Amino acid sequence: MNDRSDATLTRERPMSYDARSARNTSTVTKDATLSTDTATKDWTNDLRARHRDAFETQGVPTTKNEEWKYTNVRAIRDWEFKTATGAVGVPSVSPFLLGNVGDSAAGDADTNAGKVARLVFVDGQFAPNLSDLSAWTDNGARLAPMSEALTTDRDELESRLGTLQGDGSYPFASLNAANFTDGVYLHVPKNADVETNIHIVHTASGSATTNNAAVNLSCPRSLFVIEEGARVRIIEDYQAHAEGNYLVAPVTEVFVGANAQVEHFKVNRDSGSVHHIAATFARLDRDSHFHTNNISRGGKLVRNDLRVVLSGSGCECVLNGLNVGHDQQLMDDHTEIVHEVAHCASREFYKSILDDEAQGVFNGKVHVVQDAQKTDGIQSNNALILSDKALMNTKPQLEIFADDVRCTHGATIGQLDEAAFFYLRSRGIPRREATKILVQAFAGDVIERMNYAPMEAIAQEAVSKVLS
Amino acid sequence: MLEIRNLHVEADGNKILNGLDLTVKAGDVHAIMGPNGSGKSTLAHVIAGREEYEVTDGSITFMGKDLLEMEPEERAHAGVFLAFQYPVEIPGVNNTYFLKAAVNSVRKEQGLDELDAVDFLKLVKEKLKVLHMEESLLNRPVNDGFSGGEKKRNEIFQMAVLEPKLAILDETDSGLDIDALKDVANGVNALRDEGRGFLVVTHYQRLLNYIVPDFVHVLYKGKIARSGGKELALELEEKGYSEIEEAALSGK
Amino acid sequence: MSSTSTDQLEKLTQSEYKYGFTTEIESDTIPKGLNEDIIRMLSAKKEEPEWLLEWRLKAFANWQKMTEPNWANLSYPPIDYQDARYYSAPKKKPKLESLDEVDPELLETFKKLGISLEEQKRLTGVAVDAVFDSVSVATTYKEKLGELGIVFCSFSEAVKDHPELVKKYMGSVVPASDNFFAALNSAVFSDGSFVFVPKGVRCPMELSTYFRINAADTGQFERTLIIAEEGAYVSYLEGCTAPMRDENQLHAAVVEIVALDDAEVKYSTVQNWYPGDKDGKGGIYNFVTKRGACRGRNSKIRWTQVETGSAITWKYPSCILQGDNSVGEFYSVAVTNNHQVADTGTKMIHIGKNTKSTIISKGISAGVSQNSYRGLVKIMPGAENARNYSQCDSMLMGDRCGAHTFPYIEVKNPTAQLEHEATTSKIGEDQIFYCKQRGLSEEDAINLIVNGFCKEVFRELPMEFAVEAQKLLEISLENSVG
Repeated sequence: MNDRSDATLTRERPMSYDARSARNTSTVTKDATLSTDTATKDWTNDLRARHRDAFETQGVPTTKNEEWKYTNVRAIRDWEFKTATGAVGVPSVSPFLLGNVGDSAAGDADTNAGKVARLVFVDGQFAPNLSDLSAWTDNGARLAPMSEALTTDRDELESRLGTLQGDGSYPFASLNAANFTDGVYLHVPKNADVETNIHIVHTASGSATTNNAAVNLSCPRSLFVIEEGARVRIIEDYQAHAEGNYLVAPVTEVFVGANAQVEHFKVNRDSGSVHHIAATFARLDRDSHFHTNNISRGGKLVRNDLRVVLSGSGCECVLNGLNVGHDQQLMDDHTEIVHEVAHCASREFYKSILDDEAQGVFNGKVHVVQDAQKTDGIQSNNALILSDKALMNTKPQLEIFADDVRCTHGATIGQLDEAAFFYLRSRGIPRREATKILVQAFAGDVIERMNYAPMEAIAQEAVSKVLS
Repeated sequence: MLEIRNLHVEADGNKILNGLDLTVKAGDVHAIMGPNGSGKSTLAHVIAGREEYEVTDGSITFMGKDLLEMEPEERAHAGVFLAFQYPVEIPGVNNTYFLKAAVNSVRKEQGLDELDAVDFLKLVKEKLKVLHMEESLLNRPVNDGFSGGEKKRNEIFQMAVLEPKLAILDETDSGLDIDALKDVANGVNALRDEGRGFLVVTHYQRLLNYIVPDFVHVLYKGKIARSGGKELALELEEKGYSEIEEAALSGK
Repeated sequence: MSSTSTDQLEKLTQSEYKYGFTTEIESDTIPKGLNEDIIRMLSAKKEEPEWLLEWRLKAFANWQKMTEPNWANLSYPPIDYQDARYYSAPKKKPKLESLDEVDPELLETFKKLGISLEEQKRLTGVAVDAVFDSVSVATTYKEKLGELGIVFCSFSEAVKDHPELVKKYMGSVVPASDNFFAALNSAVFSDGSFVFVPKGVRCPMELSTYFRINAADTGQFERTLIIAEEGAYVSYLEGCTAPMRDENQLHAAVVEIVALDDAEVKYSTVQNWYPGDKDGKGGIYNFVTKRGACRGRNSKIRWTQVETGSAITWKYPSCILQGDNSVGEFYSVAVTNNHQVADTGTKMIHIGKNTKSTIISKGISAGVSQNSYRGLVKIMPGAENARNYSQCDSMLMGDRCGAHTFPYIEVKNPTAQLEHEATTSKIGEDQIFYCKQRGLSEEDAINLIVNGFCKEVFRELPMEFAVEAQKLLEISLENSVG
C-alpha cells in the first residue's frame, strides 16, 4: 500500500493487490464531487491489509481444497493483475436497460420493469454519465457509489463493511476486500417501501489483454442495509464484455432488518473469456424475507459463493438459481444457509442446463445449529444435461444439529426425457422445437419464481440461447 | 368478556408474567406491544391453554367461566381462537378436512348441527374471497409447504370460518409484506363487531395503522407497564421502549 | 409432552394385542430340531415328490455353510435353530373339498381375526387362502377363479397339481442359496400360497392369504409364488397374526413374484405378528425375503406394506427390473413401539432400459423402538434412462426411540435420473396443541397427524386393507406421543 497516488495509476502497471481509490467518479446527487481525502482510505486500510494477508497466505485455491474440488482455477495463479480502467470504449446506454435481452433493446418500460434507477460501473468504477437516477425518489433512503459513501457514510460503513464476509475463508472475496474500488451503498430506512427498482450494471471497458500482459481485475463491492419493515428490489447485473482474460471478483453484503422484504437478483451475462468469482453474504433479522435469484449464462468460469445467515426467528429466505452453460463454460454455485435460530424457513431451488462441454457444480450446505428447532428447509438441485460431454457435480450437504426440524434435499441429474421427447416428435413437432419445449418446461418453475418480468425475460433468453 | 387478574406464569422455572391484569370487553380491540421477551406470546398461549406454561397465581375468566380449568379444545369450543405466531404444519392432512373437523367439533359442543360438505364448502369459499386467497389452498395439507405469508393468511382464514368470540392474534403481522398485511387487516376488520373481542399481539407498530385498536398496552417484564389509546402506539414508534424501561426501573 | 398427552399415548401404545389368543386344537407336529431326517420326515408328511425333497436337502446343505447376517441395525439374542419345531398342522386332514369340512375351531379362530371364511362365501371381491401354522386350511372362490384359468391354492396343492409351474419358477427369483433365511426357508418351508394368472387374464378379485401362527415353539416358514403371464393382472393381499407367547417365534418366509410382458402384480401386506409385550418379552422374529422379477417388457410390480407387528422385522421387498420399461414400486409404513426393532426397505435393481422405480417409506417410531430404512437403488450399465424416486420420512414419538435412514445408491449408467428425499420430524406438542386449539380432541389430533403422515402409502392399499391399516396404526400407537 505504498503507492496511493491516483494519478499514477496506469493500465499497464501491475497492481499486485494494491488498493486503489476511485477515480473518474462523481456522486449520485448531481454536483458534488467525490472527496478524495486520505482519511477515507485510511479507515479501510485495516480491512484491506487483513484480507490481502489472507489472500496471499492461502493463494489461489487448488482442487485439493474441498470447496474448489471441481472448479480448477489454477490458471489464475499465474496471472499478474492490474486494475481495469473505466470509461474506455463504452457502448451506449441502451444495452443496460432491463428490457434488453440479447440483441433487442426493448427498454425498461416495455418489459414492466417499473421505475428503475440505474447505476452503471465500468471496470468496477462508477460511470455517472451512463447512469440514470432520475427515477430515484429517496424516501429517506440513501443510494450512492461506494467510492463516495466511504466518506459520506463512513460511520455506517465502518460498522458493517466486511463483517458478513468475516475472515479469509473466501479467497477471492479477500482479493476483493484488499482491492475494491467502487460499488453501491444502499441504505433503506425503517418502513420505507422503495418503489424504484435499483439496477446495478457492471460492465467492462472491453480492452484486450494480450499475451504476457497483466490481467484486468475488477473488484466491485456493494453494501445494502435494509432497515426494519422496509421493502426493496435490487438487481446486480454483470455484463462485462472483454477480450482475453479478465477477472471480476465482486462482493456484496446485505443486511436485512426485522420484518423487511428484499428481492435480490444477480445476473451474469459476461462475455466468453471473463472469469467471474463472486461472493454474496446476507444476514437476516427476525421475520424478514430475503429472496435472491441468480441467473448465470455468460463468462468462461462463473463461481458464486452465497452465504445466508438466518439470525432472527421467523425469517425466511428463498435462493432461486438458473445456470445455462454451453461450450466449455464452468458454472459453480456454492451456497450455504445457516439456521442460527428456531422457526426459520429456507428454500433453495437451483437448476442447471448444460450443453456442449459445459460443467456445472452445485454445493448446497444447510447448517442447522442445535437451537434452531422447527427449522423448515427445502433444497433441490436439478441438472439437465444436453450433451454427452457436459458434466454436473452435485453435493448437497445437510448438517443438522437440532432434533426437531424438517430438512429435505433432492438432487437430479439427467438428460431430456426420451419418452416425452419422442411423444412431442410423434405429434409432428420438429426435434429442435421439441427440445426447446422440454428445456423451457424444465426451467419454468425457477423462472416463474423470479416474479419480475424483465428478469424472467433475461432468464428465458438465456434458456433459448442454449438451444440455438 | 375476558378478565385476567394478577396473572403469574412460569416456564422452565423462569417467571414470565408477574401479576398481569387485563380486561377485554366484547367489541373491543386491544393491542399488546412490548420489547422482546416481555411476555407477549406467553400471554397469548396461556389464554389458549398451552400446557408447558405454569400458572402460579391469578385467574383468567372468560364469559363467566374459569378458563384455567378448561382443556385447550374446551376453550376453543367456548370461542377462544389463537392465530399462531408460528402456524404448525400437518403434512398429509387436507386443509378443508382439518377445518371441517374443527368447525364441526365446535358446533357439536355448542349444540348446533354439524355442517354437511356442501354447506361447509360454500362457507369457506366466501371467506376465501375476503382474504384474497386462492381456492387451491383448500386442497393443500395444513400449512405444509406454505410460505410464511400463506401460513399467516391461513390463520386468519381459519379465524374467519370459526368465527370465535375472542380472537387472539399472536404476531400475525410478522414477516408480512405490506400487501399481505392489508389483506390480514381486512380479514380482521371484517370480523370486528359488538359481540367479538380481539387481542392483537404485535412487535411492529405498523399493523396498528390498519387494525386501529381501542386500547394499547405495553407489556414490560411480565406486567402491563402502560395503557392508552391508539396514540400510544405512535408515541412508542417514535420514542421506543426506553422511557417505559426507565420508568419501570425507577419505580423499583 | 404434557402429562395428559403422555397418558393418552401410553394408553394408545399399550393397548392389548387383540389377536393374542391361542386356539385349542389338536396339532400334528414333528419333533424339535433340524437335520436331514427332519426334512425327510416333513417332506414325507406332505407327500412330496422326490425332486422337491432333493431341492430341500440341497438348500439345507447350503444353509449349513452360511452364517447368520449381522449387518442390519438390529440386535437380538442368538436363535437356537435346533430348539424349534419345523412342522405343525391342525390334525384334521387339511385337504378339504368345502368349507363345511373345516374344523369349526379353526373357523372360529379366523372369525375372531375378522376373517370369516364362511362370510367370504357371500362376499364378492376377495378370495381368501387361510394358512394356520404351516398349513393352508381353506381357500375360497377356487372354482370361480378356475373358470378363468387362474390357479389360487396352497403351495402344497400346487406341488401336486401344477408341478411343472412350481419347478419352473420356484427359486428362480429367490435362489435357495440367496441368503441365510431364504436357505432355511427353502429347506423347511411348509406351505403358503400359489397364484398363477394366465396370459391376458385380469384377476377379477383381490386374492388374499391370512397367515396365523398358533402352535408354541414353531417357526412359520411359508413360501409364496405368484406368476403373472403376459398381460395378466393380479392384486394379492397378505395379513398375519400370532398368539401372545413369552417365547420368541421365528417367521422366515419367502415370496417370489414373476411378471412377464405387460403383466402387473400388486402385493399388499398388513403385518401384525405379535410384537412382544411392553417390556420386550416375546414376539415374532420376522426375517422375510420378498422379491419380484419384472421379467417382461412393461411389466410392473408394486409392494405395499404396513408393518406394525413383530419384535424384529428384517424385510426388504425388492424388484428386479429386467424387462425394458418395467416399473417397480415400494410403499411402506413401518411402525415400531415399545422394544420393537424394524430394519426394512427395498432393493430396486435396474437392468432393462427405461426402467422406473418409486420408493415411498414412512417410518414411525415410538417407545424405545428403533426403526431403520435400508434401501438400495442399483442402476446397471445397460439400464439406459433409468429413473428412481425415493422418499423416506421418519416420524419420532418421544425422545427415546430412534429413526435411521440408510440409502445406498449405485449408478453405473450416466443417463440415470435419481431423486432422493428424506425427512425426520417429531410429532410434537406443537401439532397436537394446534389441533386442540382448533377444537379437536387429543385422540383425534394424533390420529389425524399420523394418518396424514402415512397418507401416500395408505392410498395405495385396496380399500378394505386401508381401513384395517388405519385401525392397526391407531392401536399400535395409542398414547405414544412423547
